Parts: sequence; C-alpha cells; structure tokens
Amino acid sequence: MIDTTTCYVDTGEPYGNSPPIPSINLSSLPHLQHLTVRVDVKSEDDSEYTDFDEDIQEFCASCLPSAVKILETASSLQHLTIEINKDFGLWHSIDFSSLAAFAESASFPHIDLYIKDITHDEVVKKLVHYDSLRKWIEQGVLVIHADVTAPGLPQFIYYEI
Amino acid sequence: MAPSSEPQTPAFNARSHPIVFSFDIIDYILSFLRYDSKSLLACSEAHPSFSPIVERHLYYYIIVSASSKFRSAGHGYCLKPSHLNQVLSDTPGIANHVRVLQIALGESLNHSSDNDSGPFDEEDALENLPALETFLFTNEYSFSWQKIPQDFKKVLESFLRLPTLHNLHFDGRQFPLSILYNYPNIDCLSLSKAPEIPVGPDDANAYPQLKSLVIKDYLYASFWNWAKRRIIKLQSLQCKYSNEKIFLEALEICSGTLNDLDLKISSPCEASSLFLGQN
Repeated sequence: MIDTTTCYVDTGEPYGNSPPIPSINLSSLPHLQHLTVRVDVKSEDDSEYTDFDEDIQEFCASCLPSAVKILETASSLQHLTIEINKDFGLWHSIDFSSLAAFAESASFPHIDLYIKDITHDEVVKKLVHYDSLRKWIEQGVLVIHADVTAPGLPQFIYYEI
Repeated sequence: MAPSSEPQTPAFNARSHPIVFSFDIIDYILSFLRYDSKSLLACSEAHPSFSPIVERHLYYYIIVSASSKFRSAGHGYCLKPSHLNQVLSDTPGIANHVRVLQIALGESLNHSSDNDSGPFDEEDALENLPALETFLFTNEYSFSWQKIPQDFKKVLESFLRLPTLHNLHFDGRQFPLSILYNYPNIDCLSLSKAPEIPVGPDDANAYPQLKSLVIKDYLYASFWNWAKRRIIKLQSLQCKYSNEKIFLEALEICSGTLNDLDLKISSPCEASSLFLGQN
C-alpha cells in the first residue's frame, strides 16, 4: 500500500512527483508496547509551481499522514510518542487533520507529543480546534511537551551540548 | 442569613504538622532527578540529611569533560578528568554509585581547554567503576575511529571489559564492530554513524544477540547484513527509516521480541535517494 506523504500547505492535496514512503505495517509485532515516531515537517522551495503571485511557492512536506498510517497498524501499543520536527515558521501550516481523524476511532492509554521551538500554549491553541484532539487533551491521554525533543531508548539517554 | 452548619476544616499548619517521609520514599523521589544534577545539588544544600541520599543519585550519571559547557548545562554531574580521579581516590565508595559514564570530547581530540590533562591518562581511575552499566562516548564533530589517539582507544576498551557493562554508545564514524567480538557482555549498541564492518566470513556466533540497537544513521545494506544475524532477540530498535526492504526484514526477524520501536521518518525525497548497498 502506497501513501503519498507530501502535501501542499493550502489545499492539503498530494504533491505530484515526490517518491512516496510505503506504509509500514506493525501488526506483525505482537509484543510492541511503545512506539516513538519522529516526523519531519519541512519547508521546501519548488520553482516548478509558480501559479500564485509569489515567486517561489512554499509547500509543506509533511510526514505526519505517513506516521498516522503506521499508527493505524499498531494495535498492541500501551504508549505512543510522537515527535514533530518542523522548519522555522511552519507551525501555522501544519495540518493535524490526519491525526485528528485517527483520534476519533483510536484508543491509546497514553500519548506524548513533542514539538520543538514552540510554546505549550501555542500547541494547545491549535490542537483544540480539532474535537477529537481536544478530548484527548482534556482526558489527559495526550500530553504535550513543548520545546523539547522526545527521549531516546532508556539505555541511551544522554545529553549533547 | 443563617450561618452554615458545615464543620469548618482547620487550616493546615505545615510547621505544627511536619510531614515525615521515610528514607526509601525520599530516595525514590530523588531518583527521578538523576539527569538533573543542578536540582540534586540544590536538594543537598537544602538540608544536610539529604546529602547521603543525593550522593547516590548525583553520581549515577557522570559526564567527564574538560569543556565548561557541560558543567553549566547541569544534566549529568560533570567533572573534569582530574577531578573524577580525585573524587574516586578520596571517596572510593562513590564508584559503586556510577552506572552511566559519558566521556564528552569538545572541539579537539587532544584538547586541554581548561588546562586539564584530558581523559587520556586516567585509565586506572576510570577503569575502577565496578557497577558501570552504560558507557557513552560523545563528541561534537563525529570523529572517525581512526583519528582517535591510540592511548585513548585503550581507555575505551578498558570500559568494555567491565562485566557489568551492557550498553555502549559511540558517537563517530567507522567504529570497528570487530572490537565487540571480544566483549560478549555488550548487548545494547548505539551508533551515531555508519560503523566499520568486519572483513572476512561472518560468524554470527562470534558476537551474542543484541537486546537493543540504535543506529542514528541510515540502515545501510552493509551494516544491515552484519546486524540482521544478531537481532533475533532484539527488544528495542531506534533507526531512521530509509529503505523499505531492509526495514521490513528487520521487523520480521525480531517480531517475536520487539517491544520498543523508535522510528524517524524524514522527507520522502530523502528516503528514496538512498542507494541500497552504498556505505
């Protein structure tokens, strides 16, 4: 199953020629309890697309829909960690609708969401626009960790300067 | 208006009702601060009774570095190499608390930025850590193994000999995996860059099965050919998704034991541009 992961900021439609990341099926991992998914949300310049007034159209290459596809295949999880690494200034362009749609049907005991270079209030302000994500926050299922990255495997926690 | 008939709860007076916690509870609470040496030191200064408990956790994770940046950050307890030597000599019992040791090099392999002698001549002291479980070698510029001075390589290998040591992280390029063949105690391996693959026929029995594998670089085919025979019992995996064939094969091999997966997904273009087999 192929999942196109690169989308325009404004329409959310798939961006044409980018090679897709195939979906990964985790259903064959019956003992998987903790999944950490680190996704990039990047800003790229594309000179082929100059339909608008701007000289260079910015689009958002988000791997979040891909990550959600993976989450849908992981049924035994006790703990889910999502880390979003975004390019500077792209916060308002990130589309969380794929995660929100997933939240409507999924049930996880605990989800940690890590986003760097953004305040806790800004994250909450954006996510509460989605009913399902707002419920997750209110129920304490979704815990937001602003301006930090997700920790690695417990054996290898260390700090770099 | 009639006064409320509900009984009034007297205000709680913390001074007249001091809360007394047992040693075990305080010890447990402070264990959450093992990666926050600044807070541990603050607790120690708050009351003298905290000091012996704090000591156990303060030395749990120590960073040996001549760079002052680590000392100011305050994550692990950062010591200059000579300072660690002195602490271990003056108070030998402290060595029993050390579980995680990070040697962090700065801008130069032969640095002495603080007029310190560097970590290279501390072998005897550093080797004497009887409870060490995790050894982390980090450096800012991902030096290749070949560029590390010979005497420091000996220090690194002296840690690997410790029977309690299970977790090894090497930050740099071309770490020779053949070294591990001498140290079957290492079953959790973390590498920031592609390592050097042993030449010649690969005997899977020459190195025990890994419980944990972190490769922050891509899963290159040459590394994967070495690793895939050693992950049948893998419990945790952290990697960067790059190649569908390699990744799905990895999951299939360790599907019976894997319980912790940490996956980084970058842009589709980045992932697809990698050529299978290139190292």
